[in-house]
Amino acid sequence: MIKLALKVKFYSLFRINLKSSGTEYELDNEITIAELIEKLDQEYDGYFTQKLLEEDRSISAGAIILVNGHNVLHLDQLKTKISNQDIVTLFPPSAGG
Amino acid sequence: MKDYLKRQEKLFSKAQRKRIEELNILIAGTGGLGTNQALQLQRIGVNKLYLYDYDRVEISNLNRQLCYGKKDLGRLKVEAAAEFLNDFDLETEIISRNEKITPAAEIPTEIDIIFDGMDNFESRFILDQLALENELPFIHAGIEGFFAQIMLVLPESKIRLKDVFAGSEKEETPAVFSPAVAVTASIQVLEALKYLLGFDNYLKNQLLHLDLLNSQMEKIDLN
Repeated sequence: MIKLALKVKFYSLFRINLKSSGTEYELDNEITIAELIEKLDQEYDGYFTQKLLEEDRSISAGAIILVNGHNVLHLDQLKTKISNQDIVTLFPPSAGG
Repeated sequence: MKDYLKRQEKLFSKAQRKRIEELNILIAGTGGLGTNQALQLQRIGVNKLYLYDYDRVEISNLNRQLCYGKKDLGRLKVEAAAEFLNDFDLETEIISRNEKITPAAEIPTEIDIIFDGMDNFESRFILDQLALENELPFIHAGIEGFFAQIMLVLPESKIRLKDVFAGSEKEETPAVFSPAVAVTASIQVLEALKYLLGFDNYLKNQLLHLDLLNSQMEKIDLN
């Protein structure tokens, strides 16, 4: 049977810092991006709050959070709902040229 | 066919070779990415390159901006770049525009594609909007340290640059160096050509992520 899970993928410095390309969670119910960050923090020692959020808990300028390829800033931000089979992509965008 | 293109002749069909030699390309920003793009596009023999920039050459540019040297410090970038490229005496016409890309910029009607050579997301969002308004394809790249991303945005694309990179406007100056910039610009040229020449496997609604520390290149689906 195919396992249904939420897939979280890390790129760039997140992958290097964590020595991991991502993780998966089998969810019983929908959760929000804010709740996902809490789960990731438990697994990665608070890393994602530090990287993805500002002190006022808004989304940091140095981080992209995509749900199935869509930036959560255009969805429901940290309240965006996610569930099994969704793919969340996390990376710091490269701005230079 | 231009006589110096013999060694790439077998790579393309006759129609593709003709297409390459008819291409008119706008390079927005003649910094690290833009100078590398210009060198590659001139070597493959495109018809015209329009170079847009409004800056002058500074000492901090010289670690990666291949059209400039110390003798060019203080000169307008587009003039120095055009002079450098024209010194090769190849047949691509180089047109320099000392102009800032603004929402009111007039894009020449003969352009086939816009290349992103910018160094910040505010400017890139303007460029993406200009591409949309002028119904032109746009190839984005951003580079920082050993990481980069590349995205092809087509006139019909539902996902624009801002849909992916909203909120990315940062104030810090990113660290950049020549080998990573050169690789990124070369892949930008390759991906644009694949689309323009009708190859099937160009980047469709995907972001190409380069991790040059891990020697990895991965596609991120944007559907």
